[in-house]
Amino acid sequence: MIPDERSERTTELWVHLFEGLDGYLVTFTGRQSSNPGARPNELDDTAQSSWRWPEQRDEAAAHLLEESKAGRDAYFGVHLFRRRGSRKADNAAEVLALWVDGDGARVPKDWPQPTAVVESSPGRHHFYWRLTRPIAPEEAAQLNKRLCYGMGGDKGKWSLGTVLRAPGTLNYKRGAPTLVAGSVGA
Amino acid sequence: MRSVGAPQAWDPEVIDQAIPELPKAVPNYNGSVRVDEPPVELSVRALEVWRGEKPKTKATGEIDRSGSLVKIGRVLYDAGATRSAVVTALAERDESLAWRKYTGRADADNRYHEIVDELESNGRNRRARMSVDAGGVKRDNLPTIVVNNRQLPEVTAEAIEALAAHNDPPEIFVRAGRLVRVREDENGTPEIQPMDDPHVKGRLARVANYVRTTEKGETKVIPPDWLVKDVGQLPYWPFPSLEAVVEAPIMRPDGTIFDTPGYDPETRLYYRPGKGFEVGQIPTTPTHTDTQAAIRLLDEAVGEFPYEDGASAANVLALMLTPLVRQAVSGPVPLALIDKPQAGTGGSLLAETIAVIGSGRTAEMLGAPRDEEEWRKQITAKLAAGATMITVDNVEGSLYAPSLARALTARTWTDRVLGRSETVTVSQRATWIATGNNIQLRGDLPRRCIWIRLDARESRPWQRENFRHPDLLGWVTKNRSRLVHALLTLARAWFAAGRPKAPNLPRLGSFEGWAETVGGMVAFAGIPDFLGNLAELYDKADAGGLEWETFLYTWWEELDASKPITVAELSKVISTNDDLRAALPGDLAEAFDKSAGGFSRKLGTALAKRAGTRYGDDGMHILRAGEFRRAIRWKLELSSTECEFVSLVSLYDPSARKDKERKKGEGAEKDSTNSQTHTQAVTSHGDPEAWEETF
Repeated sequence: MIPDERSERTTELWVHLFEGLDGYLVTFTGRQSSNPGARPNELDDTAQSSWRWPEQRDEAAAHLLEESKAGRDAYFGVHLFRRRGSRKADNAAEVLALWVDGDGARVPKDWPQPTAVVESSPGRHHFYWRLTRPIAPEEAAQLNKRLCYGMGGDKGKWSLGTVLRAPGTLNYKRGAPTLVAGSVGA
Repeated sequence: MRSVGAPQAWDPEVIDQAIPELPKAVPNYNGSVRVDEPPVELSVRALEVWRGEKPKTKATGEIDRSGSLVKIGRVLYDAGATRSAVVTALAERDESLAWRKYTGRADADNRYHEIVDELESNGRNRRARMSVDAGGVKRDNLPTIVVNNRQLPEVTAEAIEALAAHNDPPEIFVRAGRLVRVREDENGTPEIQPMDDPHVKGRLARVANYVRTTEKGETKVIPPDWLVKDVGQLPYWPFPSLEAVVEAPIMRPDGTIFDTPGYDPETRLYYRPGKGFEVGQIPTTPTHTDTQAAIRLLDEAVGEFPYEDGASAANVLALMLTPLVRQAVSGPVPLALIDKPQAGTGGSLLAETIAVIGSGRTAEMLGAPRDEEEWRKQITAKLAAGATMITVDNVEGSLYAPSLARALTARTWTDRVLGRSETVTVSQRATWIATGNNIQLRGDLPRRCIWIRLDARESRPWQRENFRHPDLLGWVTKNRSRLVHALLTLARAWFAAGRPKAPNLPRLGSFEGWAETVGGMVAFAGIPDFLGNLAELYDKADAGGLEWETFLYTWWEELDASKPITVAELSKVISTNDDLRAALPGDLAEAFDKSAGGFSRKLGTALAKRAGTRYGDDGMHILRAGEFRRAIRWKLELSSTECEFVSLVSLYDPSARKDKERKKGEGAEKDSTNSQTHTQAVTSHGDPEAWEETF
């Protein structure tokens, strides 16, 4: 059984990223492809859901954990959306936190340090910088891109519409599943 | 957990100041830094692709770099760029947009050429040049079609190309060999409308400019009639085919939910939700709690109808699911026969309730026609109009309709078009309901029906009171999105659990696909006895209802019918009572004339078969009243006013679930793909008895 604590880890991060905002939270799940030639993290049977934020926060977290428990990789949209359904950039709502998928890279010491870190797999981290005020999605994407290129992160994950793994869920990318761990704040 | 030693939040300005600018070659996301001009003129949308604002992404949101380069190549190629221009541009974009898929590689040039090879092999798509919408507001951007001094096929081809270019998202469809469009009537009800010449003409006028050229120059004209007719009479059009318009999300054959308004190429359905209708997200893997909540809500809608038995209630749930999962069912769907002993029992209300949930409005009504020709015409009219739910309302007496029987097992329906010398073939995917009082099925219909039997067991059922929702249709309309959500949750739960088969499913010839799919969903929701009254339906179909009513009322009047009597005693009385003998149903009268022994046996069988069936306004029925010297004794009774109604909630049987789960467990060893899902279903459902406590 997955303890409730895991659900709290997910919602704790979401509150950190979306607190005070209004919109739709997107969850995305899929099963690692069983095709012989499949690359790692090639997902089959994907499913995307939109949840009213903040009203359906707990429901969304429970959903991701259920999915994770069922052997599926579980992600969430790292910013909110204005309407349900679409994860396209033109549907992005205002952004309260920047993100970078470090993909093994570290945040330079002389940079503003992230306010939340998620360890998606051993040694690999997602970094989040909560902002003091929400900014336009395009502006956020621009800053993300600079953060990403500046520290050498995954260049495919800076744009709007990106989904990243949710803490508390399991990462099935490489053989034995590992827990996606996260921490928020000082 | 690792502690993060940082402030709780950063001012964006601080971050902006602290981090480096992008490498010089990487343009700004929003294009504020100068972006190199494309080698050819591009539409607004194509420019977005060129600027890298519409990259192709993988399922995880990651940019698919090679796919995005192909996308850029496509817009350039479609806009008329040459091979060398596309190759040069791709190399520049790959680097400028920092995708660097092939940048710096020795084989980069070959890779870009390979992209062009692929584009050339698929041909140019001139639609991409168009950027205006169907309203044709920006006429300067519309293509110009010269309509004089040219061959007809050439002009028509350009017109079709213009129509196709403006059909994204699709607004023109092909259905039953005709061009159609989806429009709304004055009440906002969507309908499929065949496009007649004026419609085609109007559409043509909005997608291109038409000119006649002479030595003096060009003259603008409206689309000529000969062009309109030729477009309308082509044997093939490059438009998507449309099966039906639905007003609720539906389940696709692969178990996913189609809930985005608009056209779905996979199901060929057009989803047009009513104003304000929004179904919440359907859980991918619904939990036991989800299905419990769904059943409770559905019970509020249909739980207070006086079902005669559990099978009728289970069949109602199946009927409610049918229009929403129709695309996931392979093969035809049977007619749901909602019948009851007398008027006012709620059959029409039940049918209407189900239709409102499934389609957002009352079903297409079909008065049971008297003759076969009329049946055929009405069926054609309804199916051609794209009806998804059709109710044959208030059938009186018997229902005999070979055309209806044929339609029920057909995947397509072909008939002559009224007033024309041509035929029409349309797909038959409707959900059919028939309502009436003590309907007697004739011909091939019995084996193409399922039975929902209502019996209020009182003389004035319409006077029943104390319903949870006195204005049921009002409540259903108001809560329709929740009800649809509940039904799709049940459907999804079954799918997510690996589509387990319902235990002891009776065989329903020609409708096996439907019975397995919908029956599986009903059983997995914990509702037993789906199709459990099939045998009774078949028995009933051959019953001479009126004859039996006459016989029983005569028995009531001639004998002390409340006093139990054996078959032998009754046979003896009949042999000496002319009135009773004259009232015998046909087959019994025939047996009586042949031999006394044969008659007694046949009478015994007939009484057993009809025990409990209500006849006449008083609900006269045969009742088994114990035994006397090993012989069964029978008596007659009028309908009892005391009864317990069956609801979905009261039907829930935890042992059925346990049995099902045990069976699934046995199957899990054989099917490793399903084993994980199975474990999920079992653990998430927990203790089934806990559910009962929630009611």
